[in-house]
Amino acid sequence: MTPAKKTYIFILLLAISLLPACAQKKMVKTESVKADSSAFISNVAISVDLAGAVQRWVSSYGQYEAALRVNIKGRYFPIIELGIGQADNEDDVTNVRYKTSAPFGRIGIDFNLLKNKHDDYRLYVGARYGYTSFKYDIEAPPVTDPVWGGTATYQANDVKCYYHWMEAAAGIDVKIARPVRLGWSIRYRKRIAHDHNPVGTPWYVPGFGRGDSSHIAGTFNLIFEL
Amino acid sequence: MRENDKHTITWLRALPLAFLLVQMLAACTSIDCPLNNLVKVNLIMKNENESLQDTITISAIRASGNDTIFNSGVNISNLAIPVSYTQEEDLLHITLNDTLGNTYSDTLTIKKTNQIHFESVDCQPNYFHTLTGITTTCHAIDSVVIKNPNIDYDSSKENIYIYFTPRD
Repeated sequence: MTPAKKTYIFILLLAISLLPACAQKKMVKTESVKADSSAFISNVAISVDLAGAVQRWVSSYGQYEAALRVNIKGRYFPIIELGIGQADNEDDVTNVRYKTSAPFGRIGIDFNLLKNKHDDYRLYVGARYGYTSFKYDIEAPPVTDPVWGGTATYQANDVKCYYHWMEAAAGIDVKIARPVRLGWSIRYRKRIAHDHNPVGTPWYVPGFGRGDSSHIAGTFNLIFEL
Repeated sequence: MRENDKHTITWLRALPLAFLLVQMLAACTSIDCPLNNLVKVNLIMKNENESLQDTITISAIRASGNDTIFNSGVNISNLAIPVSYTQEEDLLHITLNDTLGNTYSDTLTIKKTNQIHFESVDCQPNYFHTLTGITTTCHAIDSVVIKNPNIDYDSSKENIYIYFTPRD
């Protein structure tokens, strides 16, 4: 079983274990018909992405990521996400190794789509802008030249790159027990600008993940609403 | 809770599983390597005809001795020849045999830079090159010109034009 499959089986089990808990949660019994009297900033939440951490734990790449989110009247949620993306992968056939470790950041905003914005559940759609500047290393055993003879080294260190990208996000979260919430988000990431070194295309980009110019990713968030 | 929100929550519960499905599909292994992973220099033969009428043989001149890399071709208009991974210059021994039994030999010196090329960890290591200079002896060859200096996976590039001396 590959490390990636282990990750998804772990997340699947986690999801199944959480669904009944979510289903048992009582919804807000009444809804207010009065004018919204909530504070402009209702609360601040700090969250960590468990999916990225587990992914890094069981596979050759992943990211450790935390976020700070502000709740504006239960409807608007500006958010800053910061993390460190890491990859250390060696292919067992080619013996080519790719290694990187670098910080990344995203900034954006989510909107709660539910009509009852004070419900325990929230349904979000949002957008992010992401950026990372990173270096990677590539190495492989010496390569034998089949025509001209001899061996050639295959190594590049500190190859500099940067990536700018946008994300479309959709997700939910639910109050488990105050102040703890759990939530998911699905992300569609689209690269908008980048600088590749002539060496080639990075195998993994911190915060952006694998994939060339666009791909789908996700987070599973443990949230502490203060 | 409003009725609309109840419906929303109902399908919200299915969203994590949809997310997992998408992620598992995305996790399917794919090989990112290009189908054409050969890096060769493209030599274009130029003479008064469409193609070279003489029989052409090309050998790589190596420290350990010559190694034939193209043998006895006739009516050749272009040839893709492997380049060395990391040598600063490659020496090619070009031999022409005409229909009268005459033999002409030239040595082509190709100077280049070498850049490791990384596609993915799944792909075999490879090198791209940039031509920086070319010289030749002039027995059968009149002159040589670098047309496109970049040598990579694109096999359609015409890298070097070789002009042969017209013979009566």
